[in-house]
Amino acid sequence: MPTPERVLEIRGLTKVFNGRTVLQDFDLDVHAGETVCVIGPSGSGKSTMLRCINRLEVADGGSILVEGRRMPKDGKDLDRLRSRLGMVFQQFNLFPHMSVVKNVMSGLVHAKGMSRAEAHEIAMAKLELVGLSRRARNRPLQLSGGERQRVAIARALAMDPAIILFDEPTSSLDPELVRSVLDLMRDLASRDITMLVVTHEMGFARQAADKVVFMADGRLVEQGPPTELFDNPRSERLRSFLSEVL
Amino acid sequence: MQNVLDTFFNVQQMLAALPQLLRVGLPNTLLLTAASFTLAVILGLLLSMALVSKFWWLRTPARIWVDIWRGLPAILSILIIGGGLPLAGFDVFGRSTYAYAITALGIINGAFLAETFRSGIQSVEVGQTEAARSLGISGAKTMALFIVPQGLRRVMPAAMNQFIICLKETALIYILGLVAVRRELFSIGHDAAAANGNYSVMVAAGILFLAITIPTTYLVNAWDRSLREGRRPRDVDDQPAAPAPLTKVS
Repeated sequence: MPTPERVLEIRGLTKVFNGRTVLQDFDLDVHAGETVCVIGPSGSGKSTMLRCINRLEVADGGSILVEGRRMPKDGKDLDRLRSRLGMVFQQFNLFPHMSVVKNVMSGLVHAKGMSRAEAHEIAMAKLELVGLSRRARNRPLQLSGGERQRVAIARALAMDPAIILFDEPTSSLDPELVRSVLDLMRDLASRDITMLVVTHEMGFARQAADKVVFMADGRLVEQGPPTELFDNPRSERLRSFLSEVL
Repeated sequence: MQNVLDTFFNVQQMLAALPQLLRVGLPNTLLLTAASFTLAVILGLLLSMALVSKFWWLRTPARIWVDIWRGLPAILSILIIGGGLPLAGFDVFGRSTYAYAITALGIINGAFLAETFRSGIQSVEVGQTEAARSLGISGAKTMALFIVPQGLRRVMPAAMNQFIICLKETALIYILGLVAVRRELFSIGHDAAAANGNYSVMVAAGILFLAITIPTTYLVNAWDRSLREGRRPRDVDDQPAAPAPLTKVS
């Protein structure tokens, strides 16, 4: 059986910020259809690593290949490659001055140059998928946190990206709203959407991930299938982390 | 006391001047304000985007321009542009005092609006830019479609304040000299004072100014209040999901 395509290939990623090494020699592969969860203590560089992938942060060393292509520095090439990546933020970052459906359409219309009619159709389909088509005409401020995050996910899905990057998607949500977002993410994982998720939700990582990566102090410490990592942690660092969070 | 009343509130003189004030002065004042404020908004928008640009060769000249025109007294700026430019040979507008006046007022208020718009633009959370750029939307489109619209909404009350200032500043253009039919409110009042040694017509002009500025101020305050207290986000709980099938490890 042919190996699934390597959607994301990170080699030797390094970043120093204000004299502090935030990322050190980080390697990661993500294959098509995989769900990879990244866990680790605060300050371990998880979010920085994620944001380097779509160049919201600029790494100091190493390489990032998306679908076999290097991330360009700037300009139209960067915009084009960014449209192959989806991002879901901890703070949702929906556009408050536009309706929900316009939010979901925004990438299609303004990055891909799609006609509004076509974009609207796709947007409504994605809103249907996340269970919020009845809110299409509402403004983001009229939605609850969990609903907003699901709209943000729909916005990323609409672009049909090669991989969706999730930056602690539930960390800003009240506990009772977390479940709806995690259920959606579980559903996406089961549909073979390629996902790279930085999260503190160990339950989700255990249930939905194909591979879990543990980071600490800017380094990749351990990686493997969730059962291995959670039930048989090899490193002391991971063991102590798990004992604190579980 | 009688002297005060007579000097400032001579009703006969006021009534005599009223037709001039209403048919010549008021329309001219409003025309000047509308034209110069329009120019100010256009200049202010362009300058504000230059001020936040990543290119130093846009930022620095914009910064210098804004600092100069915000720092000079308005009457000096008006004279330099309206009086000095034609003398120096830049006779762009020919004899049209109004064109110079509108240019001057537009430049001055545009510099103030540039700062107002800039602060509005910069108050938009960086997450908005990150979200738009992450979708692959270009920097220019991000600015134009997502950041500037949000930024401008936030500073609307401050921009309207500048409108009121611009309105009052139209009084200064009398320094350029105006023909009779072109006189705005203040010059009518000033000419009457010079001719009659009586300030009542000037007071009348002042009352007309207040008739515009005070209601506008109240409207702006009301608008500002409604923006701040406006629609609160609805606190809605999500529909409860189906119970999770596996044990939760958290």
